[in-house]
Amino acid sequence: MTVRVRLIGPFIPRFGFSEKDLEVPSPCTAADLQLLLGLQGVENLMTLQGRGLKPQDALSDGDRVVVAPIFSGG
Amino acid sequence: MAEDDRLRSAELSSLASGEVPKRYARNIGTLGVEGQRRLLETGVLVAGLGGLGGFVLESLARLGVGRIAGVDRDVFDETNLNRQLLSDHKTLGLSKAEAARERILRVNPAVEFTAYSSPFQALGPEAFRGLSAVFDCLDDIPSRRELSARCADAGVVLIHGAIAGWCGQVAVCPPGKGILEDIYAAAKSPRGAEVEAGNLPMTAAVAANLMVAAAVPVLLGRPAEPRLQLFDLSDPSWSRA
Repeated sequence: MTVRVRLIGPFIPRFGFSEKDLEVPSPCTAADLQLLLGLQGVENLMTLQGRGLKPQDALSDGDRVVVAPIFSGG
Repeated sequence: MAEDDRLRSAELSSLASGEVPKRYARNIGTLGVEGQRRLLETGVLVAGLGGLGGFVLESLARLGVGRIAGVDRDVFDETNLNRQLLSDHKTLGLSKAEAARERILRVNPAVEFTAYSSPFQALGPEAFRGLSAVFDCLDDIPSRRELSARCADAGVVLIHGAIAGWCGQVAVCPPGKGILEDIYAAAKSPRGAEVEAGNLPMTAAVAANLMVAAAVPVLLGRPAEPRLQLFDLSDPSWSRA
C-alpha cells in the first residue's frame, strides 16, 4: 500500500525530501513507518488527520502522515 | 467597584442595548454582538508570558476577553528581546507577570487581569475554576505535561502551542483526551528542536495567533474538537501540513 509522508523543518534536509509517496508493506503501523524512514532513536511526532499517532496505530492505504521533530519552545 | 470591572460593565451594558463600544467595532463583523458579549464575560489563564504568551495575551486583550490571568515566574533578560512582545529595554529585569499587567492596562483597561509571579505549579485549584481555556505557552515538556494534567483535573480545555526555528505546532486539547500526551509520547528530553534551532519572532507570533484563533470558538461556547496543526514557515506550502 502507499502512504504519503510529509516532513517538517529540519527533517527535510536530513532525509532529502519534503513530501513523497512511500510504498509500505500491509499491514503497517506508525512504528513500522518510523523504521522505514530511519527514524529509530530520533525523537519525533507523527500525525495523521490532525491527531498524534501512537506507535501501534495502524496506517491505511492513502494516508498522509506528517512527521516533525519535537517542538517545545515558547 | 474596580476600574476594570466598571469599564467592562459599561461595555456589556452598551452591547446589551445593541450599541458597540468603538474599541470593538472591527471585531463585530466577524464575532457579532453576542460573540463580543460572550468574550467579555469569559475567563482564561495564560501559562507562560514569554514568546508565545506575550502575543497570546495581546490578541486576547484586543479581542476583549474579559478576565485574563497570566502566570510566569521569570523576569525579562536580553535573550528575550528577539521575540517576546512584552520585553523591551524598559522591562529588562522586570517580572514578566508585572510587565503583562502594565501592558493590559495600556491595551484594554476593561480587562480584569490577575498576575501571578510564580510557577503555575504553585497555583491552587481556584485559579483554574470557571475558566473557558488555559493557554500552554510554556517552554519545557515536563511542565507542559503537568499543565495538561491540571487542566484535565479541572475540566478545562488546554490550547497548546510550541515552536522551534521556523516551525511550530498548535493543538486544541479537550480535558482528558490525551492529546498533549500523544504529542510528546516519543519525547525523552525535557526540550525539543528549539535547543538547536532557537525561537524566531515571526514563528512565535504565528503560533500564538493560531492558538488564539483555535481558542475563539471554544470561548464562544462551541464544543472543543481535538485538533493538532503543524506548520513550517520555511516551506511555502506550510498550510497543508
